[in-house]
Amino acid sequence: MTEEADVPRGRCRNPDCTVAETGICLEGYENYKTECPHYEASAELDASEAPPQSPKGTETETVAVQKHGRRFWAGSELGVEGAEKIMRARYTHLIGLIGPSDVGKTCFLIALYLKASSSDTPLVRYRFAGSNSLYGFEERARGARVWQKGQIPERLSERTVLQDPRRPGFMHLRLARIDDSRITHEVLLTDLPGEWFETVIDDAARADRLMFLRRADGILFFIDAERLLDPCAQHQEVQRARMLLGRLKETVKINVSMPFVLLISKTDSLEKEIDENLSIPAVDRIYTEAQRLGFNPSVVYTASFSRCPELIPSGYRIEEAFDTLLSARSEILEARREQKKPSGHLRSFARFRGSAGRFLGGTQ
Amino acid sequence: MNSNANILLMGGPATGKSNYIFRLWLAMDDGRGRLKKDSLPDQLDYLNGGAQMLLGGQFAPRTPRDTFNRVEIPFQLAEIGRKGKLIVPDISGEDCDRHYTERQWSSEWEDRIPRCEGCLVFLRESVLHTPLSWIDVSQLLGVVDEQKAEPDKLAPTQVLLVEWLQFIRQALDDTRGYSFIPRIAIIVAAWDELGEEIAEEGPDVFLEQFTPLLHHFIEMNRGRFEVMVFGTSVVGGDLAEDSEFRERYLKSNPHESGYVVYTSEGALKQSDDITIPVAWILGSAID
Repeated sequence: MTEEADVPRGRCRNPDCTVAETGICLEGYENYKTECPHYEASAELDASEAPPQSPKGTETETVAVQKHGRRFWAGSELGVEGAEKIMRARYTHLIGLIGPSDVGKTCFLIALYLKASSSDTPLVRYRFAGSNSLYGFEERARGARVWQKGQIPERLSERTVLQDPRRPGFMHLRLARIDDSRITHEVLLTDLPGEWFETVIDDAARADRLMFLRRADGILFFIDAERLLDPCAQHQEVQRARMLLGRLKETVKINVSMPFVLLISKTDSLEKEIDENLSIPAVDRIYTEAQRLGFNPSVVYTASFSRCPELIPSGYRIEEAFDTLLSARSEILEARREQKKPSGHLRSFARFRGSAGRFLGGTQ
Repeated sequence: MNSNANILLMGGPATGKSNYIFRLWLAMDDGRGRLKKDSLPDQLDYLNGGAQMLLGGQFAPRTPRDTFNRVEIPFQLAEIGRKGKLIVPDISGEDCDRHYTERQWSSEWEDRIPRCEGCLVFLRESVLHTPLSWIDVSQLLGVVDEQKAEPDKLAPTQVLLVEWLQFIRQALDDTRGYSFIPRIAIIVAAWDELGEEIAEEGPDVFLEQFTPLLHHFIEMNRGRFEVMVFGTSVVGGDLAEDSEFRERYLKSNPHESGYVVYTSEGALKQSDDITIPVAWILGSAID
């Protein structure tokens, strides 16, 4: 079962539109039945009558594949093109990982992958159901896919090929809930250089390449606990977080009501067991600022790779941070479904690209 | 029904693919299992060469890289009234690694997709490349020590096989359509090598414990693949390392050696019919 399984069906002449499966119009029309020029109102279909999704290769493509063999997705990370392909096929949770360099974004991605792929400390609520960036997760876990120092790319990648060094893009996971719902989530997690976020604090004009985050379904806003515990660094860290929160709201203009987690990374630097009432004053200041700006943040203390595993295990609360976003978004979608209101604007990632390339950094 | 039955073979180096094929041929020739030969294959040199090695008390050597040994055996599967030609290309284990690292496969591979009915996917505990642990990764990333560890170049077996199944599904979607559901027999080869404790749990539990990513992927994609997990032992012991076993084996009837284990209706079952995994792919029911 997928999240969109009970959405009303319809037919669209645009072969890329999945309104038949999702009830979500690619063009973003909420009243797609009457407003979308591609929608065929007279062709309501039952799910069982939906046209077969494949064979889908064109005749030319088929001949080329037969002659030269088949080339698959690069797998290292997804560019815009790969991300959109997934988003067009099914409702996809786009999660923005936001924070400066060395704050732990990549370690979070690796820890999530290890939990999905190991039997030592498995995910509790989800099971791995597939990934178009499996190769990239594995390479990152080996420390073999790092940002090239001094050569940070300026834009989101349009598409990736195997030979590319690490490029700004997306990591993909398909995860199935273990509960009775068996819902499968398509999840795209951003993999962006921390320098992008450092730069946008200083220069609002550099926000253009982050505009796609408006379409995100949730934000993981990373804060480094190690720096917050360092008397010499904590005030700088709080100030930097406050500035970045401000930029997200005022310049990038992300929707402040979207699920938002203040993810405190490297909590193992506390070197003591974490209890439920843990409160770090500097975190409280950042939390207060986030609330003042209109965000409704949750705070999750995490440790991707613990330096004191006897006190705090590696992978500590990684799943909780992730699940907080997914569950919150699913509740919003469910509420919309109950109102029988297709959430057309959720496909606006595609619209950003089609109508204004600048939202994706003008890479087209 | 008379038709060709194309089955793809996959698995890393030294996972027992060729030896299974040779033992399968001996069993089909013997005719006591579900899947029987209908007549002698036109080309018998490859099968005969491998079978001779097994009958002489030796395992076959590894298949060289870039090899496609075409195996074609006229078969009959009386249970479902099916006859035809079983076509299984025996390939090198390096192919699996190459598909993963090069992100492509050859036109020879592609050529088999439109007619493929299912796959035999091999893994073996003693050559399993295990997943990275938290400690491994901590060392690789330099989290624990400043000095980073040197990464191992080989990806874990479970990652290679999941990626390969994703590739197969993509190719099938393009050529056969979304509704075609292939039968995938996962073979845990050399089942006799396993410790008693693991062997008692059965091949499904083996998969869950040793290759959790692959196990979860299969479980969560039941609508995209029809999967059975088997443990196989082609002769019932180690011909290379266990001289006492080899002696016993040579004194016995090699056609009666070996076995298959699998779980059916919640119970672990063992059969001396080594043809069961292939018969299942071709449409046979599991008891």
